[in-house]
Amino acid sequence: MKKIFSLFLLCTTSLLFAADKAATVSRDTDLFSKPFKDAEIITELSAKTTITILKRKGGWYEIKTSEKQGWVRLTHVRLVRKGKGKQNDNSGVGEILSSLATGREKSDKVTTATAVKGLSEEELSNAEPDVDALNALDNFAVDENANNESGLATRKVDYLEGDSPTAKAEPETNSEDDE
Amino acid sequence: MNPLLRLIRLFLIISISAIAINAYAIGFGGFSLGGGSEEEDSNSFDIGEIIDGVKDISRTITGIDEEAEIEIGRDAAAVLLGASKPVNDPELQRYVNKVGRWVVNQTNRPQLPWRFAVLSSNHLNAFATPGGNIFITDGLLRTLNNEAELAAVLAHEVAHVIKKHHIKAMSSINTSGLSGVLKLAGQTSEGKNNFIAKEMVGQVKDMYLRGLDKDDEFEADRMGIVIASRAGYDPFALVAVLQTLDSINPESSGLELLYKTHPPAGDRLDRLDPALEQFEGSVEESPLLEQRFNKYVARRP
Repeated sequence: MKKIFSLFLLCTTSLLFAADKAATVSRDTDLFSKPFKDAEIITELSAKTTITILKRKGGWYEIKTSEKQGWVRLTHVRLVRKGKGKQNDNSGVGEILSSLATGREKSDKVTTATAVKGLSEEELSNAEPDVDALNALDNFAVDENANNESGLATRKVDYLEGDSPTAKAEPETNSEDDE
Repeated sequence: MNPLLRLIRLFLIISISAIAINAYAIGFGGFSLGGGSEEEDSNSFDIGEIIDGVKDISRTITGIDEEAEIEIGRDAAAVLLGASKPVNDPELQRYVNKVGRWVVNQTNRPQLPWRFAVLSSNHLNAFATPGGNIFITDGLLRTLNNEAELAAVLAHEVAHVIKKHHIKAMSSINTSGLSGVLKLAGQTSEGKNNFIAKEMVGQVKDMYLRGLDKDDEFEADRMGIVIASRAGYDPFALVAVLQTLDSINPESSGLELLYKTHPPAGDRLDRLDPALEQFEGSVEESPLLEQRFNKYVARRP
């Protein structure tokens, strides 16, 4: 009775991962008929097989190859790389930023804000501490007891073994609903 | 830390303590037992200071005073803010703080003075400092597609704070370990002309240029997914962020520091499977809050 995800939230899935994207599989991986571990295996795709992503469901992508269609694990997929730029060439980042921006209300390319200071190695190395800027962060802080405006409901999920910050169980185990 | 190292360290601490306590007993045994105040001791031999040092070393990183942790974190945050300023967009900054606050409220340390800020840098990166200062660059923010992805990035950074990964990293940079870091943090004086020790500034820079322990990065990925998921966000959103990063040429400018200090995005994806397994079949659909995200992020020029 560990985790009961009884929440069926009204969803706006799943533009999270853009559909119809060119990708490859990062390793030899099974192509399943359904998005489940125990589903029938259609075939094994060898590493680097080119695929097209159709949609996502949970931890799975529905994909097609030149011959087959089915489901593969999310983490075994790599999007085709953008930007062939060399070092000090901004094309990679620039390209992805502008291509992403097109999906949004304003399709302007990412404009370089005035007086942008970066966080390159050099800029970080030369930084002088700015305590005023630090104190100014207080202006936007949100109180611990502020209303949650996201509309999201919490879930009960445990850290993986060994990751927990305390030896004991997590604090929100109010054990109210434990039976 | 690996268990063997931990054991060796513990052994060292114990033996140093024993030596110091012996020295203390030999040196002052005769007259300081009853009332040997620290001032008296330090005048003569500084042995009190040695003992304090030992105490500091033995104070484990997880046991660091919260106040000291916050102080160190403020120093570190001031340095980062020296390199890049927050974007001048109060609504955006407030929004990121709302998302971040909801995320940290799902951890065991909601009481820290959490501050979130978008920094006006086109580099793709995010940073945390001890005590709860979290920064995301405008460049990274703009590559994200929705609030779930933002929460995923923030939750990764939050996990670093929860686990005090930076304190650990700084302690390994400082030749006196944690006690050295604590000492430097103590050199911050109150008041207007807040002063941060030069050495501290140097060590903070060192840490952010070198990055954290790679295993700590993987751990923050795993924990971040859990934290974001507790907050109700899609646990797979971090995968989306990493796949986006992986799809950008790693040699692009704007990614150098990220990749110098983090494992490649592909490796991080490879390592995420165990953390995602528990969501298998149970969380197929979660809100992404794309609209709310776009209201604050995409409206900008």
